[in-house]
Amino acid sequence: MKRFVALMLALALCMSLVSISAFADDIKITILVDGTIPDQNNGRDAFEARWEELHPGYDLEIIQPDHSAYYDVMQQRMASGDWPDVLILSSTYYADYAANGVLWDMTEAWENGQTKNSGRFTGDNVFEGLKIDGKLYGFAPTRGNGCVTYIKKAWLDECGLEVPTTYDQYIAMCEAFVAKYGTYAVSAAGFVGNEAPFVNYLPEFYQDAYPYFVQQEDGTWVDGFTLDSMKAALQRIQDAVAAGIIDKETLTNKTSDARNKFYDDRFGVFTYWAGTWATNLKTNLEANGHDGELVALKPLEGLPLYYDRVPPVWCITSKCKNPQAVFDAFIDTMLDGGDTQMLFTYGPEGVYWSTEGGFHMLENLEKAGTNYTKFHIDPMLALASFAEGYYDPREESVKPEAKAASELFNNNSRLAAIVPATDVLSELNGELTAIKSEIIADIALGNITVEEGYARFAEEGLELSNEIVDSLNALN
Amino acid sequence: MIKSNSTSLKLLKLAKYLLWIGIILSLVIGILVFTGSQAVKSMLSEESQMANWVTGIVIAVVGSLAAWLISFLLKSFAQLVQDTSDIRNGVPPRSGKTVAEKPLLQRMSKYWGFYLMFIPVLIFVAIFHYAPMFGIQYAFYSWKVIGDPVWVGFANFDKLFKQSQFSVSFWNTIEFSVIKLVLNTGLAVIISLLLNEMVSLKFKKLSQTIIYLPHFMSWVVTASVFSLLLAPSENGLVNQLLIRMGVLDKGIYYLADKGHWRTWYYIINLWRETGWQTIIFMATLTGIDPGIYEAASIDGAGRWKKMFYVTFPALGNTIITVLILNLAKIMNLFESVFVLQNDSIRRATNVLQTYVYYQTFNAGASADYGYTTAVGLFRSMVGLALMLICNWASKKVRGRGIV
Repeated sequence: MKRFVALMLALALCMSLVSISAFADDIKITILVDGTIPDQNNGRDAFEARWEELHPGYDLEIIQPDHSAYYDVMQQRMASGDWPDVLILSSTYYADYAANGVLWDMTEAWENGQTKNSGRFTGDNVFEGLKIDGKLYGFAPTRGNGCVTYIKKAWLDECGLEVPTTYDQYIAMCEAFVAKYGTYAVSAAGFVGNEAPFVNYLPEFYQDAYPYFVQQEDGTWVDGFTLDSMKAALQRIQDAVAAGIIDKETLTNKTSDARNKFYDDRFGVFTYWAGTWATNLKTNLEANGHDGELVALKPLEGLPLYYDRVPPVWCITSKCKNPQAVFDAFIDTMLDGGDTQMLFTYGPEGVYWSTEGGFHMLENLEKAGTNYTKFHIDPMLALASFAEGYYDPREESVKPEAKAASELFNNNSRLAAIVPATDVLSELNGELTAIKSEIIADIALGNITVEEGYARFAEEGLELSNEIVDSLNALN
Repeated sequence: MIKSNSTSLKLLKLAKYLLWIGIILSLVIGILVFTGSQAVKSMLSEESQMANWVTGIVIAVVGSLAAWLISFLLKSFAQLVQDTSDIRNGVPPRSGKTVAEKPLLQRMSKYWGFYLMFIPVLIFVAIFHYAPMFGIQYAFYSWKVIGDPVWVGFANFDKLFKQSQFSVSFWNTIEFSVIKLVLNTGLAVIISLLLNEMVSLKFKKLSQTIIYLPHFMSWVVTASVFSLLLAPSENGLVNQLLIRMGVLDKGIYYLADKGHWRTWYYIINLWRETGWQTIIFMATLTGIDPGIYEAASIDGAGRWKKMFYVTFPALGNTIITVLILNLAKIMNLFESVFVLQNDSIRRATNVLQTYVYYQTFNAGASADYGYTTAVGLFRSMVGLALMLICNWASKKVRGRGIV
């Protein structure tokens, strides 16, 4: 009898093991992410465990190269054919990969998905901007964010000035700053950016000008650099540099140089990122012994809104074996208004936040003395609110100045357009960008006039520009 | 009469047959592929994008070489077996050769321990230095990472020779490197001579430490320091000094001006690298026989004469060696230029490696890696040519090559 019972128990054990292994065949989702998902030193494993707990039946595998080498590693993987199921892409790679059939068309899945139809989603305009030929290939849980202009309140007060509302008032304010403090009023990292939206560090001077390819209302493409609006913008910049309003060293400034000069009180008007950067600028000014109060400037009258950068997007590759399941489990739950959104926004409980003594963010595991502010989704930029009745700790976790700057930006910004990829664009744009950047720099520094700059462009860059424009118009 | 070892004879026969069978087979397959036989091509690789004629030639050449190598190894092994058999039979090895004259395999078997130790290095070099060289093939393709490479033959080379920026970058590479080399070596020699004349050992060591230090700063830090020193504003030390001395009315934006940029590029390189280069000259100077100086003193030579007639000639061979060795590396110019560039002077100061960088990363997402590989291959070919010239020059000057 004992032998029989032992045999039965062993058999039962074997059967249970077989049944477990049969049901344990989870759907594996491989995701390739950059540093916008915190790394293993900052609770990534806890995030993964919590996500799998919230999504039984799925096995999440995270591949995370070093943030600065992300696109190198990503391209190597794509070249080798070892594609992940899901990956994060910036706007340029997104347009290019979509055009080349690398990405799964998620239009239908999105239209029928729970996020889109939840009633909480507020990013329709952002998603319209993400469509390529009417099709959606990527999901953005947040806005892209952009820059707003901050003015030092103490400088305004000392000059007896109000916050400017027109361009003339803005220039008068800058001249007053130059006269009072004997220094330039505005500084930035470069006279033109090296990625879209290019003009976001000097918006008051560029106004409606854009040095890259833009689609006109009739659908045709044109090189924004060739338009009169660009010539006028370059004249404004040249005049401002000559008048000492814009820092000459803008040409060689890195972003850290521009920030440090601002913290050292060497200029008073700084266009920089909205949101949490408002808090960073304030605290750094105060740490340097200066007044940290900043006024976020609304777009000046008659001038276009600030540029909202095209956000990085989560995409499913066309080699993913079960894209609909991946969409449903991974993409469409990111803004579910509940536990998964909480996880993506504030991170895993116990590592990023705690409710002991009220909700509060915990100390950064790598930087002692500072607290975490978010996990992946910036709560101020999220495109969907939490579901009704679900506790949203945003009020406790976001500083007032950051919230104010973010709201001002969200209410006064437009999405930068995506330029579709063409072979001609990729072949010629490197050279064309170098020519444009050189002309902009030379005009800004007063080495040449605007007319001379455009004569040089006609000689060296116009042919390249026309070829690219033709290739873009051929897509229509 | 000593009988030949039967295994050895069989191996020799096998080697002979394998050689001819291998060569004939490779040539036949190569010709079939060359003439476009799809049946053979599909057997080799269904997804092959390489042109027929290239694939055919590659198969014929590689196959024949492989056959020759296998045959050679077998022959060497047969010789080893025969000699071992002769020794066992108490007769001198039939080959009758000294160790140095014996076939490679025999020599390898004698020193197998050293070869065993060499294997990890060989594997490392093969994986990290030779295997990546297969990427050279992309110079003949248009390849945008996603999708299959498309064979374009020499179109990438045709394109690069038509690009004005390529030729500017090529000549800048030569100009910056050669001027830098001459200036740095010249100043390093002068400083070495001066250091050698210093009487106070403490001061000499202190001076050496101070001039070596900049070499250990990264190029990024060096660029930041000089950007600050050369700033056109009131923070720019150089401009402020010149204004206060009455030389200038207002600051010059040195790093944004095409003419000034080059001058400062050489100065910054001198500041950073000269000290380090003095090490090799100082080592030579300490090796000069003091007896020569004593003899010169007895002959009435003063300090200057000893420097000119003893020290300087002793450095001659080292100077030429340093110049030759550095000449072979002149195409490897990137970081020092890249960190000092800005929008205003970039196109005028590009060197080949920065040109490749901007062609790749300014293009947007889908840069043509085929084209940039072609630029890199061209750069390597020029570097190889320079190295061979240097090797030849080294043989002439030093009596031995550098490779």
